[in-house]
Amino acid sequence: MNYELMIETFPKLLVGLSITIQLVTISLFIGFCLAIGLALLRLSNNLFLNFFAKSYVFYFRGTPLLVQIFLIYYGIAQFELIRESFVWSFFKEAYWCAILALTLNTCAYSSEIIRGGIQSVPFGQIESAKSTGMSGFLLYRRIILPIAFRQALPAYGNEIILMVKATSLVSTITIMDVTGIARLIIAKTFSPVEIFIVAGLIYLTINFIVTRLVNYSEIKLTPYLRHAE
Amino acid sequence: MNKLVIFTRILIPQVLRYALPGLGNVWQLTLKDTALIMVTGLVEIMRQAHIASGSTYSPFTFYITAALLYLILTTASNKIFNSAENWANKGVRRA
Repeated sequence: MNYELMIETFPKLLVGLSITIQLVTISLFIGFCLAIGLALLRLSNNLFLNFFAKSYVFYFRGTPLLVQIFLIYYGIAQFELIRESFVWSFFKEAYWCAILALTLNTCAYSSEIIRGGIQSVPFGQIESAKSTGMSGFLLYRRIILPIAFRQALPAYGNEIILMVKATSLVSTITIMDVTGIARLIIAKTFSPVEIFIVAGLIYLTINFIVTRLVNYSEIKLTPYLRHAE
Repeated sequence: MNKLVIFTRILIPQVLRYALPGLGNVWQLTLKDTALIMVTGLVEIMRQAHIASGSTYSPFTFYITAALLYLILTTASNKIFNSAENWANKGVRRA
C-alpha cells in the first residue's frame, strides 16, 4: 500500500465531491417534489392517471439505473429531430442528462415510499379532521402529509443513501465526480486499490453524515415515541 | 426428531414465510446491479447493447431492448417469488 499516494489523491478527489453533492441534492429535491404528485396519482381513483403512475414506477423500478442513464445520454442522440431542436442543448450535456436520469429514478422509488406513508395514516385521524371541517388541500397539508412523512422517513433515509451511491454511476458518462476523478487518476498511476479505497472512504463519510442527520430528524419529528427520561 | 429433521420440517417452512419477501427484494436489486458488471468488460446484456450501439449508431434501439430484457427478467422473477410466497403461506389460516 502506497500511503503517500493515498494522501496525495485525497484533495484531488475532494474536487469531485462538489459535483457528487450537487447531483444528489438537485435530483433528490426535484425527485421528491415530483414523487408527492406521483404518489397522489397512484392513489387517485382515475383509472388513466393510476395506470400512468403504475407503469412509470414499473419501468423505473424494473430496469437498472445504468440503462436509464445510457438511454438518456446515448439513446436520445439517435433521433435527428431532437438533435436539431432546441432541447439538444440540454441533452448534449452529460451533467443535465445525469440529473434527469437520477431525478426520474429517485422519483419512482420515493413515490412508492410516500404512498406507503400516506396509506399508513390511520383512518380515524382523517375522519376526525373531516369532522372538524377540513377537506381537500388543507386536510393533506395539516394531517395526512405530516403523518405520512414521519412514517416514511426511515425508508426515505435509505433512499437518500442509495442515491449517494447511485451518483457514482454517472462517471460512465464522462462526468468527473469522485468516482470519475478516481478512474482518471487510476489510469495514470495504475494503482486502483489505494485510490478506490480513498474514494470509498469519501462515500462512507457522506453516508455516515446522512444517516446521522436522518436519525436526528427522526428523533425530532417523533418525540412522542421516545420514553420519558 | 433429530436436529436435521427439526430444521427441514419445522424451522425452514416457518422461516421462509417471513424471509421470502425480503429475499425477493434482494434478488431484484442484485438482478439490476448485474448491469454494473459491464464496466469490468464482461459481456452481459449491457455490454452487448453497448457494443452493438457503438457499431450501428443506433443506441436508443439497443438500450431500450436491454431495458425490456431487464423488465422481462424482473417481472418473471417477481411472479415466481409471488407464487413461492403463496406456497409458503398456504398453511396459514386466513381471517
